[in-house]
Formats: sequence, C-alpha cells, structure tokens
Amino acid sequence: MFVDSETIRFLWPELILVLCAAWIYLGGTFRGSRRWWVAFALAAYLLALGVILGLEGPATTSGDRGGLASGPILVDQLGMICRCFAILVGILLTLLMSKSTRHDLGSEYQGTLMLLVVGLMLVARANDLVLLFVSLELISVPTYVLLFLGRRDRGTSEATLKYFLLSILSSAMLLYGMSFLYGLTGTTSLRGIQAAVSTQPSVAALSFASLGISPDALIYLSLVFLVAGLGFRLAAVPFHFYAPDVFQGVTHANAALLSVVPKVAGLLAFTRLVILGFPQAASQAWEILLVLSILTMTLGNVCALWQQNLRRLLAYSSIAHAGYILIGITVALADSQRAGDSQGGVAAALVYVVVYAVAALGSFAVLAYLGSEQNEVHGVDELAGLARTRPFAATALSICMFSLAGLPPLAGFWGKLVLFLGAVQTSSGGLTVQVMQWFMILAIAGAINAAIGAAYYLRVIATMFFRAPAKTLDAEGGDGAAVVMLVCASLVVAIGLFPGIALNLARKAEASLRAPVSLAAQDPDRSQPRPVEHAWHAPEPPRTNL
Amino acid sequence: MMTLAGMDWHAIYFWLFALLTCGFALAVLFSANVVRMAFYLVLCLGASAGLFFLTGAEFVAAMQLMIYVGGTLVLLVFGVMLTAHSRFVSLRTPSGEWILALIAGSALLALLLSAALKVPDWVKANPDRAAISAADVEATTPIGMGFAGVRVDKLSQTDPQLLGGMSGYLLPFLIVSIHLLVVLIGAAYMARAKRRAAAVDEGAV
Repeated sequence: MFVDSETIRFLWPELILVLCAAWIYLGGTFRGSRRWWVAFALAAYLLALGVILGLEGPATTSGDRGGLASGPILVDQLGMICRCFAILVGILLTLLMSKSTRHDLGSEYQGTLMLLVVGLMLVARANDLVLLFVSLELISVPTYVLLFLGRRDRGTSEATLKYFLLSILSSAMLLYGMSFLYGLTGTTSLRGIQAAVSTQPSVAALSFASLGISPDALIYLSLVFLVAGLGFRLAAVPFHFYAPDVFQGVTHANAALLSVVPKVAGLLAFTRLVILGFPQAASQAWEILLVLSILTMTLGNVCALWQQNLRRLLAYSSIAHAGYILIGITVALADSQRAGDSQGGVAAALVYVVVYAVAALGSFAVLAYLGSEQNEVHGVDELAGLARTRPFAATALSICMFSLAGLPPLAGFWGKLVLFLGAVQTSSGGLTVQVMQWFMILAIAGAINAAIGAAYYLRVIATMFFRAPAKTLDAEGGDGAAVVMLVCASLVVAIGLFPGIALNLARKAEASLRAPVSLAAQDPDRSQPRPVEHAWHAPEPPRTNL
Repeated sequence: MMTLAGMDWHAIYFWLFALLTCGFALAVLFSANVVRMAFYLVLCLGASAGLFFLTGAEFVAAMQLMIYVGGTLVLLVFGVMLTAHSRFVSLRTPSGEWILALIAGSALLALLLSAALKVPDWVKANPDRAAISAADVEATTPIGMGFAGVRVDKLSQTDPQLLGGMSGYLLPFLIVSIHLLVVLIGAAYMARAKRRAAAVDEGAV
C-alpha cells in the first residue's frame, strides 16, 4: 500500500506535533529553561488545534455525515471531536506538569507528553489494526517514561515497573486477539473486517468456508483477548489491580494522566474495534461486558469507601468510572444486534468519559496545587479545614468531586443520566425477556453504585468544610496547576449548565461511526468520492506458485 | 530401511516438538532460578519454531529463531547478568499466587482449547493430504520477501513510477535495527552507570 499525499494532508496536525516534540527534545539539551519549553509546547498545541479546525473542519462537516477513508486513517466526526479533546487534555497536562517536574528535565517531559497526545489523536482515527496498535503503544511507551521522570524514588520506580510489566502483558493480549481477527478476515482494515465478518463474504472468509472452518469459534476467542487487552487500559475488573498501587506511587500530575489518557484511548479502541468489528459475536460480547461492568463499578466503589490515601481513593474511583463507561459500550453492543434506532450507547460513553476526564483532571490539579515538591498531599485528613485556609482550591475540588459523584446540576449528573437512560431504554425495548431483565439489573446496579460513590466523595468534601484545619498546606504547585484547576471546575459547571452541546456533539460522533465511508481521492481523475468497498486491501486470491 | 521410509515422520516430528515445547514450558514454570528459566525458555521457543517449520510457515519459524531465541533471550540473559542481585536470581512464588495463577492459567487454557475444538477441520484428521490448501502457508512468505527487498505481493504492478517506490522493506528494517542497537548500547550504559536505577532503565527500553 502506498501512502499518498492525501493521507499525509490529513495527518498534518499530528506531524506538526511530532516535529515539535523532536525539536523540544533536541532544543532541551541547549536551553534548559522549563518556562520556555512549556510556552513552546502550548503554542504547538494551539497551532495543531488551529490546523485541525481550519483544514479539516470543512472537510468532515460538509456533505453527508459519513467520513473519508484515506489509507490507514479514517476522517470523520468522531475522530475530529476526539482529537480536539486530546489536544485539550494535552494543554491541561502541560500546564499541570509545568512545575511538578525537575527543572533540568522540563523539556524531556514536555516532548514525551506531546508524543503521547499524538498517540491519542491517532487512536481516534485509526482505520487499521496495525495503526491502532502502534498508536496505542505510542500512548503506553511515553507513559512509562513520564511515570519514571516524575519522581525518582523507590516507590515511583516500583510503580513504574509494575505499570510497565502489566501494560506490555495487556498489549500482548491485544495483539493475540488482533492476530485471530486478521487470520479470519485476511485484512487489517477495520471497516474491511467489519464487512468480512458480517455480510459480505470476502475472499478469505470464502476460503475458510471451503476448508470447513467455522469462523465463529475463533471470533469469540479474539473477542475475549481484545476485551482483556483493552480492559487493562480502561482499568476494568479483573484487569484493574495495578491501578491503586501505581496511582499511589506516582505524582499527582502523572496520576491525572493515568486516569484520563488510557481511558479515552481504551474507549475509542472499544468503539472502533469491538462494537463495529463483532456484529456476529455481539450477543456474547454484551454478556461479557455487562458482567464486567457490574463487577467493575461495585468493586471500585466499595473498595474506595475505606481509602485514606487520596490518590488510592481516586484510583478506585477511576476503576468505578470505567464500570460506568462499560455500561455505554454494553448498550451499544446490544443495539448492534437489531435494526432500528440507536439507544445512544456510544454517545453516552463518550460524554461520560469527557465529563469524567475533566473532573478527574481538576481533582488531581487541586491536589497538585496544594502540595509542593517536598510535601505532597497524601491523606484525606490533610485536607481538613481547607475551606477556611484555601477557599478557592476547596471550592474547585468540591465542584469536581460533586460532578464525579453525579450530583445535579453538574456535568457528572448528565453523564450518568444518559448512560442509565440508555440501559433502561434497552431493557424496555429489549429483544427477549432475559435481555430485558439483564439490562434492568445493569441500570439498578448503576444507580446503587452512584449512591455508594457519593458516600466517599462527600466524605472528602465534608473533611474540607466541616473539620478544623490541622495545618496550612504549602500550595506551591505553581500557576499552571491553579489554571488547570480553574479551567476544569468551570468546564464542569459549563457542561452541567449546557449539557445539550456536549450531547449533540457526541450524537454526531456516534452517527458518523455507523455512517458509510467514502474513499478519499487518490489522484485527480478519481477525485469523486466513491464507496469504500474497493478500498480495503482485500486479499488477493492465494497464488499457487510464487 | 523400508520401515523407516514408511513411518509417518510428520507426526513423529510433531509429537517430538510439541512435547519439547510443553515440557520446557513447564520447566520454566517450576524452576526458581532466573538463568535456568531463561535457558529453558530458549529451548521451549526453539521447539515451537520447529512446529512452525512443520506447518510450512518458514518465515515465521525463522523469525521465531532469530528474534526470540537469538535476540530477546540473549538480551534477557545479558539483562540478568548486568543487573544481577542475589534476591532476583532465585525467585520463589508464594502459594497464594500459585492458586491465582492456576485459576487464570486454566481459564485461558479452557478458552483456547474450547475454541480450537470448535473448528471441525482441526479436530478430525484429513486423509487427503493433497486437498489441504496452502493458502495460509503463503501468507507470510511475501512479507519475508518484502523484507529482503522483493515485493512478490505486487507483481501485477506495471506503472514504472509506482514500481520505483516499491523498494521493499529493507531500508526501514535496517533503520529500525540500527535504532534498536543504539537503544541497547544506551541501556547497557545506563545500567552500568547507576546501579540502583538499573532495573527501571531496563524496563524503560
């Protein structure tokens, strides 16, 4: 396959960021100033955002809602929205990490973070198994480096090594699942796989039929491995056990990164790979995910109840939120089994992950702001009386935690509402009585868990407002963390007041996911978009002699 | 001599390599010494390369030998030698972890077995050897030829301009190899310079 100029044109924002990251690495050896490189990185993110909105905004929003397939990438609304969000996360993390790094490592930190953001942007638009895997690794590998650079003591080294080992294990499982998928369909293109396993008999599927191999058994196998590999990134039970230890060992800024970036990437990969790739195995897939979702929510929330360490508490809360996100994926999978209106499972999960990400970033930003390089905030008790000593920080943390708990009228409430509504609608308009019962159980489990979750968030808030201050915290986290804290708190309030905007964007993204895809023009005489059926590198019939 | 020629050598080699693979895999599991584990792993992976040769996937088998047996495990042994602390050389697994590992491992085994047994063609023997398609055998050969610079997968291409761009994957392969070599040297340097951080530097590569 040749990379044509059209594909490169769609990749400009990513290329800009990669070049800037390389420049930061190189330039950092000559000019060590942390402040300068933070400013440079922010400028690069804004430039990339401008390029996305300026160059591709018209291309993806005009005409029909379907996207363009160009080489291994897919240009559509979902990718567009998620890339803008990736850049927002990049900007917030850059600000958050602007002071929490050692002075001489500032440029390495920013460059690595920028590569990670590029990985997230590529996951959002991958239309190819290989690109999807490589971009997931482009998130994982910089994460190891960032975790290690954050603080170089014994605890951090242990946490980093733990994350590294489990992460490569999950990547191996993901690859194993992908290899079955490739073996079954003979193509690495995601849209091609979708077509091959559902309706259109591809060459490979035909040859399998002639061999007497039923693809169903292997599709199921592939599904289990993909769920395992991606479940690690979402921190879903039973792939969650790394989260509390790792979160406790790393800095607040890195914990923010760990709770947001892998979750967004995991959800996107789930959306593109599992929901679209398994129309045949959808019934088994939603059964697995429904059980995992209930287990994940319950375990995360119950274990969070008796945590005294703030990062451990937020780690369990991150596990619990992975369970809520899985509700959306389950609803979407059950939806794909029947024709008719979509219940908006993907849109709900997208809204929820954004809402969670903003609130989690805000919470960690407050904690980072309150500490200093020598004295980090660890325990819940250290926040006692914060409302009197640091009223602004206490307000921001309360807003974020109220949103995580799902109290109206903040963003988290709407996120939970659309998720639970999706489950209830699926159960009322369900396929069989058994399906209806299961989705009702799912919705009830979600509601009970929201109540359990409120308990430990409110405990933190009560500590801040109703207990006498024990000591005054340093609050030397820097201006960057303060800005992130303010931006996140106001975003939480804004999404809470105008939930329609976020919901509409997410619905558009979901619609583009299922819309037909046209092939991007490759040369001038083929400038008219045409159906993508010919674009998958469908395997050539096996040659008998080479 | 007639008896030798009449024997089903394919089946014999299959059983030989399969037993070697499983036996040495168990040996890795029950050994407590890291260096011995690495050596058993070499034998286990080597035997599984033999299984790939038997199926006719020569390219995969060669990669298995070159990358895993030749590269990764030599690296592993070097890593153990460079960073050896006495407490890591000998590993004892607590009994609680044995139980967890047994549960996870047997779940995985059950899943793989049930999937494999559901494929009818893999369960019953096919008496007609000639009817077995060689389609999946050839799937990896074009990749291997592509690494050597010959694009056998695009023989139909006639456009001279496009042919010029089809140089195979030799150059990217070399670039990646040199890159990995640089990383290896850097890792060895860092592992030597700071003994305390050695284990993590190893991990970051």
